[in-house]
Amino acid sequence: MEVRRGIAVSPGIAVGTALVLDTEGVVISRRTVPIDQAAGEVARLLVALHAAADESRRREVLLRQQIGRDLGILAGHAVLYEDPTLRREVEKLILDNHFSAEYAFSRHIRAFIRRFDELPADHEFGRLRADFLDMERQVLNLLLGTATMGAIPLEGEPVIVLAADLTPSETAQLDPNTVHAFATESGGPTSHTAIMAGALEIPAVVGIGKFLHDVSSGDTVIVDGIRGLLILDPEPETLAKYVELKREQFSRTGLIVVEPMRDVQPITRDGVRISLLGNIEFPTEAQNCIDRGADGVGLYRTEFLYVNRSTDPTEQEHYEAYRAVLTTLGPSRPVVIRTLDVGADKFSSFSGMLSGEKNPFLGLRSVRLCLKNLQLFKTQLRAILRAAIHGDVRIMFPMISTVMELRQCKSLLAEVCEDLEEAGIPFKSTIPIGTMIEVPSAAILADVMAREVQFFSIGTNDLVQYTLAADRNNENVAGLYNPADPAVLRLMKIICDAAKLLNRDVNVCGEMSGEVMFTPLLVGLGIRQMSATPRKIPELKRAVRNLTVADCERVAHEALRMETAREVTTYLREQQLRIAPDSLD
Amino acid sequence: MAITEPIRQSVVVANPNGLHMRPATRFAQAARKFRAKIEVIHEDKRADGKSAMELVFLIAMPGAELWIEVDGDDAEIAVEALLGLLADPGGDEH
Repeated sequence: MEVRRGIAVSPGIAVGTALVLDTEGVVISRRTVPIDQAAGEVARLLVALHAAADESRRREVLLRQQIGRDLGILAGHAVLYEDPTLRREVEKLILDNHFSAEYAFSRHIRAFIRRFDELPADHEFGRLRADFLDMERQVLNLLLGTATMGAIPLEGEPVIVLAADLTPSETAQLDPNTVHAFATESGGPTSHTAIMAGALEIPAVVGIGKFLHDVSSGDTVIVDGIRGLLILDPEPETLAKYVELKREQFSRTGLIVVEPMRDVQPITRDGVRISLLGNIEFPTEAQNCIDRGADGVGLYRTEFLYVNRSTDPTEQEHYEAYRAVLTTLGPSRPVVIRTLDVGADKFSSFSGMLSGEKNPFLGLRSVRLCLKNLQLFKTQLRAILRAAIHGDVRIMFPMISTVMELRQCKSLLAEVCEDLEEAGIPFKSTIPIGTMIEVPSAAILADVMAREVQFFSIGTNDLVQYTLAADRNNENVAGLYNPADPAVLRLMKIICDAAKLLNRDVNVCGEMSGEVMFTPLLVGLGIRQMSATPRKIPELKRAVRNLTVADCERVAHEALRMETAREVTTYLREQQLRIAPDSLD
Repeated sequence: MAITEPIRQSVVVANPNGLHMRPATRFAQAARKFRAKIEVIHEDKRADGKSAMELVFLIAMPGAELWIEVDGDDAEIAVEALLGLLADPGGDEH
């Protein structure tokens, strides 16, 4: 038995069969076809090779348009796909052995790559390996009609996916019915991959470090998304313990029709009502907010509309997605729609606009991108205004770093209102406007920002990353990234004080608001709205009901005097234990 | 097809990165335009000149001596065109 520790990013337990997707692409198992189908497999192979060559040439052209010169690498790949020897040898494998096209191609490419293994590691020709692996992946994707995820069976025995890393779009394709959990070697706690795992409610552990060499597809493994563990080759007692835990977990969440906390109000012991809202990504999650008794949607991310597609979404597609959520939430629950927040860590393939940036986290992302692509931005704004007639919509602009950006957004919104008015299209013009505060400059100027908007929403994930200048996905510096850092707390105090002066609402929608350890601190800073992944809502309700505002204010006051993140964390843990002795595991 | 003797000529790889992916794919692409059978020989390895995958596996470093063997009715023009490709130092291509 081997226990590997990683970062728990999506709670839950899964015991099951491993499916290893290694970095070298999809794992194709040996498969043969009946003799009379071999010719058909050859035909499939030829079609796929042809399509791969076309696609490489198309990408080369796109790349040239982007960078203004020929690299020729992708065009080179196109020539390789058309290679007569490659074609002949894979054809022969299929016809002689009745292998499936996938297996024959994979086997041939891998054998070819192994021929390079004799070369010294740093040999000039050694790096061609990557090109052949890329070829393998492209062709397999075409043959399987999928991306990497094609290796996952769509039905039958559920699996636990193990991979070096999963991209957000790959994670988005995971079906919770088939994939009961995943664990990856790299990745950080607040990447979009982690957020999606939470949204899909797939237990996940990331950032484990190298482990793929020690496990094979078909092995029994355990993913403990609560403690952040991956257990390989579990001993019988451990296995039995986890099977039991899983059954308990199931009866706690999966099978209960009504969440016991659903209709309980999040009111402090001294009678202050705290709004607890849900963060959602997909329209289908709106129902999760209702089921868990959320007061509304505090963050509706809209990036999903743009993922996995080559064209931008139409106004109608936006509109339908927003209306679906508004219809579910009804007229009295607010829905805060955040405009496109595509960023380097999320969907860097987005329209190709972000590639080639040396420092994408400080580059053209989010609202900056929208203000450079007004047509794209206006399409979304129009759809939001139109959908607003169906419920209590609020609009929120992400990654604002200057007041001018905020003013530009507002004037653009006014422009869109005029256009709709002129066109006689029904819409609602009086929706509350808010801004995310997630860049330190916006936090420092919060008093100025407060004059421009009706509400703030603190995006703690980015605020922490930008304040501490630490990439949340880089394991080497992830330790610096800590919401409990005193610098972050002071910025949050500045934001809350500025909002209080003008009587503006402040919501916290980063991962910090989902951690009950921080609840007393946030309430003490003056925050009365928190937005977290829907499944955290019942836990947050329990936490709120244990608090008194006066006590929270004292906690916040103490925490703000501390000098290190460690002191703050220790202190908040103690307070949590004092306030609710049974709240810790 | 006319009966011809194969033409054999030696050439030194001029590309600063050797017969890497780009020079190899360019060579193969050019070779495919000819009807003649084209082979490239490096030490004890022999590659189909129309296959870039076989060509890169010759692992011909800059300065390596290659033989090219061409057999077919358009062999003469093929040799001329292809020798030029291998002898051309090109850019800094891989």
